[in-house]
Amino acid sequence: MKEKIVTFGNGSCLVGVTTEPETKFQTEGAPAVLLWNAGLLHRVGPYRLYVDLARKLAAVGFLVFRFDISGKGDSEIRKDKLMDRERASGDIQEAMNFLSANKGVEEFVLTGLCSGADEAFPVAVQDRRVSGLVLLDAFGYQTFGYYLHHYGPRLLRLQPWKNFLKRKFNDILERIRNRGNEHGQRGRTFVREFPPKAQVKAELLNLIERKVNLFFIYSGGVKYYNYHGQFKDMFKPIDFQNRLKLEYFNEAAHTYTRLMDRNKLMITVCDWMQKHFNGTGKTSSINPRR
Amino acid sequence: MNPLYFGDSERPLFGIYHPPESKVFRDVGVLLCYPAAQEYMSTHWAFRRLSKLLSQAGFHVFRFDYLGTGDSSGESREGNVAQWKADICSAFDELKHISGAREVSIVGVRFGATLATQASAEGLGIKDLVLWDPVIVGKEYVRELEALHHDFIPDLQVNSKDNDFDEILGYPFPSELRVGIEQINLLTPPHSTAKRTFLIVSEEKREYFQLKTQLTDTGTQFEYRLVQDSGDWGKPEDFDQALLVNDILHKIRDVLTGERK
Repeated sequence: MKEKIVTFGNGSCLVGVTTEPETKFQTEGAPAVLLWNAGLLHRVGPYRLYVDLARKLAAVGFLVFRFDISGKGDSEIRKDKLMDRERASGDIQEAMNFLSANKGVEEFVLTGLCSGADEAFPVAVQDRRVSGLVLLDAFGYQTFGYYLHHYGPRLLRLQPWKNFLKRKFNDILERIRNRGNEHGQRGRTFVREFPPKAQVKAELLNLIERKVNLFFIYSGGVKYYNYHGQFKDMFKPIDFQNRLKLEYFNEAAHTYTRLMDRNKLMITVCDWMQKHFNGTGKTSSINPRR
Repeated sequence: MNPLYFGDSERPLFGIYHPPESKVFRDVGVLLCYPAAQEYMSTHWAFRRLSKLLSQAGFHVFRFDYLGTGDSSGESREGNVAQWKADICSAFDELKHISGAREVSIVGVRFGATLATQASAEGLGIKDLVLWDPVIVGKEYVRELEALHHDFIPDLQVNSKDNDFDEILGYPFPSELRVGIEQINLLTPPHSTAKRTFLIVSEEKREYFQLKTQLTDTGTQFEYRLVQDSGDWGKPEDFDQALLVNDILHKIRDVLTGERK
């Protein structure tokens, strides 16, 4: 496995790292996997997830490129005046252009967590070079099943009511305590808004028609998704034509804090990549404990 | 800004060099030392901003990832105290080599400050040493991490006695690392040999007063600053969020430039 630092894009303002398989493990014609910032975290990923995932994917034959979107991580701000979402799209496409020009790659699998997922989806819709999507905690829309799973158990138990009242009381106390104290805030400064469901539905149909392979993974760390079948219920009656894989790691946090959850996630992603894009090597050689 | 690999070519470390962006000539480099794994994620953005501030003030700046962290080689479980101190020395030499700077100062945050202090005590010739919320007593730090882990991930118990391989707050925590951290106590000799030491803290703690007293007693040129801008290091739910601070970064720049504000 070889890792190389790359500066690319207009004015070489973007920073990334390519992780390439050893020559004997390279899979000819395989797509490259792209990873970039989740929220304000840099290209390393939460708990170094992207570094580990890149190295494991390279071990089974895939070239991986993880980079920082402009203005995040170590990448400079773009000189043009694009808005946030356009900026990300522009950067992702520059990353693809870079790999096409320098590594001869013609197909790409975009992998994103949270804001990364939000940025990946429209790029995949627009750019025909994208042949796969791995989206972690992407958009979600409430369904009847969601409300049943959320409220059903709570209505019948006393403890959730007590917790609700306690939370509200603590919220009020916190607001009183923090009045005027804006120091040392953490980076919870971006808000996620999902596109209209009808729009997403149309875009999914577009991707299926293009035979893009889709892997949607949800964790137990998001409030808007709470049961295994929710994705399919969200987008009934789309026929995904076997292009869709779903996974719901309901015990995992949004950023996969526990090692075992990250390991499970990485094995799942590697297996899916190998199944759909003919990677080499054996995912079972990854020690799930480490 | 120049990202690069350096050190042992078989196990390279990742670093980023920021050349001076000012007409003010300072023949001084500043090495930034990240905290340990659990607090690394949240500090990256602050260090990027600090690098900019310092390079605009005329310093050569270098920040880097220890072995087994960030973009450096090695798996996360390979990190240990001895290795990370050696990495600081390697980064120190690299900064001198790239920049030609005559002297190098170090800014360390949390356990990075602790490691830098130890490296200084072991002979690394540091000009100014800035300790931002340093970890003073390793044993207490490990207990704090374990307590946070129990609260944050209650269904995953830390086994500090039997297991050679363990996990705290999402990161591998093998016994070698645990023992290395627990052996550290900045209140006991040997002490830092930096020409000047700055203790910049976000809250007043008993151990900071103890360190202050000790450094004063040993005749070290030493200054203490309280800057209530750093947020709370003890909230695991914030570990994967970027730390957004401003005042403390400016204070660090000011102490290094010698400006009194």
